[in-house]
Amino acid sequence: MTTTARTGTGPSVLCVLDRAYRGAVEAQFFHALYGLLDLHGQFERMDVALRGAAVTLAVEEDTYRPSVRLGTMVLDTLPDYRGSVRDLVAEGFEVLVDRDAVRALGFAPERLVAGTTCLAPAELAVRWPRYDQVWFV
Amino acid sequence: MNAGTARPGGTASYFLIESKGNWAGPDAGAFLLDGAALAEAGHRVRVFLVEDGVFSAVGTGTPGIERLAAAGAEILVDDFSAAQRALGGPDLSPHARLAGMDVAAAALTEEGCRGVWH
Amino acid sequence: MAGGMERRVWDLLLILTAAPHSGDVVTSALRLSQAVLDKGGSVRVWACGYATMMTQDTFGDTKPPNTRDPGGHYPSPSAIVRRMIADGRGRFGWIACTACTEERGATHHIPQVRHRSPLRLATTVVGARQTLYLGGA
Repeated sequence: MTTTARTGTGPSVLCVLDRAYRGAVEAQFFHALYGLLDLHGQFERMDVALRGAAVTLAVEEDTYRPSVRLGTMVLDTLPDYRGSVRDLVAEGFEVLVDRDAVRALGFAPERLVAGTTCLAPAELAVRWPRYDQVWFV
Repeated sequence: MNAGTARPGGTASYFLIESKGNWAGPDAGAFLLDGAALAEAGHRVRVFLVEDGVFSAVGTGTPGIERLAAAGAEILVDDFSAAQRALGGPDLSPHARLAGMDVAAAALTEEGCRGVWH
Repeated sequence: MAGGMERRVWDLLLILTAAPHSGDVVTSALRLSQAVLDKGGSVRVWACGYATMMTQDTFGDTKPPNTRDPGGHYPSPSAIVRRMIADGRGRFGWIACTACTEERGATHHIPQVRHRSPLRLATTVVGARQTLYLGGA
């Protein structure tokens, strides 16, 4: 893992992710969370809110293996979403997770990646003014 | 030869693949209700939930799954998609069971089975 | 003498019109293809819409460098398809719709891809025991 150099010339941004799982085989490492990890150093601050089914990106589990066999090739470079969420936390992002979606999907908040923050939907929205911009990625 | 058309009054065998799921927006659950209607009409229906379709079998409200099960449809959940979304067997509706893609491949290559992807 | 050639019939035709990176549809299509190949069957993919991007030779063999894992090997979409075609030894084929290819400007397919006019779609469907339409274009 590398840590992106922070130049901080860009505005503070809250990135809301409400669609996940956009192309495992073709994306591999190049998924939405990678983009945030790769670019956040350019911004004064960048945080992430996971909503809807995207909250599952932050749910810990131990079954998924990011690998698929295609022909004679074992493609073991599929996205590791939980690992990326851990990286976000490690690199100073605040990772906000929609509590209603977590509950509706039957998960206990205790299953979320350590360091993430589980919030009611209204609490997510009232945080918007803390940021210069809000992006739905 | 293509999967044959059911003769009038006969029954057909459907393998329905749901990739969108009930979190995809309004009317997202309609495909499962299509399956339920087919099953209630006496046709063989198997439903395979894949990608975000697996969300239709988890959580507190799974009316589409309940109706499918009541109509005698078989409900399968792709194991890879479920694990990718941190979902295991205990998280699923009791009417659904985990299955590999090999099960889908076997069904879709059965004589007379009609596949539909949503 | 009886005339006419014996026409090949494929076990599964996937009409893939959904775009890569829009969801995990490409991953599912390739996993299903591999599962049919594993049981000795044959599969054809008819790529429409932005699915024609999958087989562009402009990708090269690998994806762009992963800035967080510069030494990692990440095969490109076209390399994955090319490998599956080679490993399939005639049981896995990939067709690019010529109209979608032109319409999306995705005109540089790898040579292993067959080019077909949409006017031959019905003929291609008739040549398969099972057809699934994976919509989204």
